[in-house]
Amino acid sequence: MAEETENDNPHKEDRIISINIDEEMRSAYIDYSMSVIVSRALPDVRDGLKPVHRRVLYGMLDLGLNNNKPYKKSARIVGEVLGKYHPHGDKSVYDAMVRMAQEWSLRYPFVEGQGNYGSIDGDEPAAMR
Amino acid sequence: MLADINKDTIDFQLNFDDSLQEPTVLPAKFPNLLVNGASGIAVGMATNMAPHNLTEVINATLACIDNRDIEVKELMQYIKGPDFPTGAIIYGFEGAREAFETGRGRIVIRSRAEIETYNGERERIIVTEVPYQINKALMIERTAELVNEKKLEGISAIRDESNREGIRVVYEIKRDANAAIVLNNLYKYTSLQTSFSINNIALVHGRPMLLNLKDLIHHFVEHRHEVVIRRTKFELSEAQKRAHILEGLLIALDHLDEVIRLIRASNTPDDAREGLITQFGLTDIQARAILDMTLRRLTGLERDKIKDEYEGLMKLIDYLNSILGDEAIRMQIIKDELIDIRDKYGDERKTEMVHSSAEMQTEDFIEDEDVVITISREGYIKRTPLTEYRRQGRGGKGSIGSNSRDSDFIEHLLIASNHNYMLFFTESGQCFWLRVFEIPEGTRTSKGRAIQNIINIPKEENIKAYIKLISLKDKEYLENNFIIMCTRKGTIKKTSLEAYSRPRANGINAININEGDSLLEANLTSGSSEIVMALKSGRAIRFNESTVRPMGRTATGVRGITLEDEHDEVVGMISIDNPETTVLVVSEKGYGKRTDIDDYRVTNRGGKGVKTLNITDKTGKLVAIKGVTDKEDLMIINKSGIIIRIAISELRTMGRATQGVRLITLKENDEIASVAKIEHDDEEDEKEIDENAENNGTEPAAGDTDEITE
Repeated sequence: MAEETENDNPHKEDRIISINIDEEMRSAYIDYSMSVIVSRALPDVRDGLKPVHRRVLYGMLDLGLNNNKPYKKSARIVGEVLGKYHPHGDKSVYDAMVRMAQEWSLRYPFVEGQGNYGSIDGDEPAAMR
Repeated sequence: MLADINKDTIDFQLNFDDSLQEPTVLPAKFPNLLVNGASGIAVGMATNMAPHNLTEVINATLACIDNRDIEVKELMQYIKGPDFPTGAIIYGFEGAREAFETGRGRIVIRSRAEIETYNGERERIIVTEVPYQINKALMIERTAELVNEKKLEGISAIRDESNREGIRVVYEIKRDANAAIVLNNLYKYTSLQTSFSINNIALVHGRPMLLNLKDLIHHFVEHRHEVVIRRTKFELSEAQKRAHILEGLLIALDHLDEVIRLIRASNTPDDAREGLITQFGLTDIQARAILDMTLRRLTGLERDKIKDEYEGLMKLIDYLNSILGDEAIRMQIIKDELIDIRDKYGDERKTEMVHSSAEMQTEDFIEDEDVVITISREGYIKRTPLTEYRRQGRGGKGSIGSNSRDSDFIEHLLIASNHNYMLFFTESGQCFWLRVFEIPEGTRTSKGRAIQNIINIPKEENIKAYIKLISLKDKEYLENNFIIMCTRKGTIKKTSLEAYSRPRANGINAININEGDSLLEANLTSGSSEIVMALKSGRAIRFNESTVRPMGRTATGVRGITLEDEHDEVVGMISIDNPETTVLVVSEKGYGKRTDIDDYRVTNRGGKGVKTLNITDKTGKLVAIKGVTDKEDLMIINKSGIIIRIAISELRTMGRATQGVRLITLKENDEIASVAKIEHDDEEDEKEIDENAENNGTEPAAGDTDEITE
């Protein structure tokens, strides 16, 4: 085992690239910020949606949730979206969906909710279950 | 939003673990970004877009499709401004206009509030809509805190009576408070009014960009256009596939018996298929379709059906091709679909837009009431509501002034309205501003506060002159009035009022004062007043203001009068507009004299002037000159602290070069320290106050209308 590591060492050194920490920080940060910009915080000019909203709507389509279908449990939608498209926390998906149902947040809500979706007084919506 | 997503209208990408496909964008049928808005904080940039009315947005989009080069201004005929789901009122058009033009802007949103009177006189404010993204419960809580801290006054109770039907917040107003003013304060200090900063940043081809209204609509139309093309292509290929199969079926039906024979003769389905392909020149797909056909399809009716379907398909294909070949048709489709959406989902706008003054001024929170400002000889100032003076019984002599320190008395008494400005000039030539409402309020008998404590002046500085201005905004007023100043050494300077119309807390230099000199007097003039300056040595000069040319604010000025010798100095300057005004001069030893202004010959400025009082050992040097009328009283204060008050009407007018009459009998070695004129304080006094009040009342009103039309 020890021998192996020694043998490996020269190769490993080859793979070490020395980088100025300053630059590394900068480029890593730029990567991060671009990622946030493109895939989280800003809406696309075309459909006006951020990725999470888009995924929720697409997930709901996948589940066949049209306006003429009965209500489905929020958790099912969230689970669907989480499992299939949105590799983040469940809270973020649920909040995004809830917002799309609040008629004081969206001029024209996308989602029709049944139950407690919070209020304009800042009350939390019901937990999804 | 999702319609046609399965018609290959948009690009898909793999999801996070490459196991599924997810859309990169949805084939939105309406400009969702504009309609629903967005907000988000990314790294280094944030976006905050307001929602808009669907009907308006679609109308604007239609207009944009019809005219690609449309200006934002024209689009704004369709979209008036943001339309929030919570309604409320957008206060002012400017912010929205800016946001539409540039992509950035700030709009002020006010709650919808009404003032309601109940039980006869009690008032309450009813709020039925709150600004967008405002947490109503927090807003009320915060307001209640402000009320408890006494930062907001006039509210006796706040209740949230909202229910499922709508919002209703009630602010009970105290009996003695003015509901309109409380409401304005609520707007200012609570989120009953908020500002919404629009920053239209969105991703265009994966890059963040700042977009104006036209860009937003334009990008949407592009997107929609692409969706329509891709959808049409998809439908076309589907139709072509179907037509292909139908063609095969038709061939088979034409040769029905042969086909059946061939199939019966075949061993396996594969054989049959190959036979069909070779015998009838069919394709693989067509052959499979024939083999899948049910016997039912062989009836005559079904055959006609297939024919009809085929013909229908051919028409559809032609139409789809024409769509792909003609942009005008595509645009028409986009328009038709938008109109459908509009007619189905469009609604009236909820948010009202109203004009506003560019900004709410402090004065909106203060009643424009008439007040009496008094400034004592020692520099104590206060304001008292005029009503307090009116309440005084007629005929009662009473004390006009305040219970100020012994030997102090009210030197200036003027009527102003709360929205007026006061200008203060110091010895060293500095000028300070104060809004009248900023002057501490005091009762008629209170002392007031030292001016030094109100404005930012050095302790050792003395205020020498006060001027009341009606407005700092009225251009005409500013340009047609001047401030004329004179110094102890005889310099005089005239400057347009305009130069003093931009207040600074730390004051400005009003005049450049030379070493050993100091500012003595400042007056507001109309540009054609007569100026009289008097010297200690008993001479006075009268000239027309027009001989002093207007200069910049920091200039030194020009010679107004030539001093007799180095010990001589100017004792005062008066400016006279009213020909009835007489000139009153007072000497050190208590002699004084009132003379018609016309006894002073008009000369050029800079001269030595004419003799105004025969200076003898008996009279002593000149100490004061005042422009007076019969309606005023004279206050004389001695160095020993004795004050005497004389009605001016008791002094008869006499010739210029006389010695005058004894106004006050002085003890040995005592001298007159200074002289002030004040308003006569019996019945005539009240009349004058009333008159002044009326004058004041009309002018600020004119100012108000100016603001509204802005």
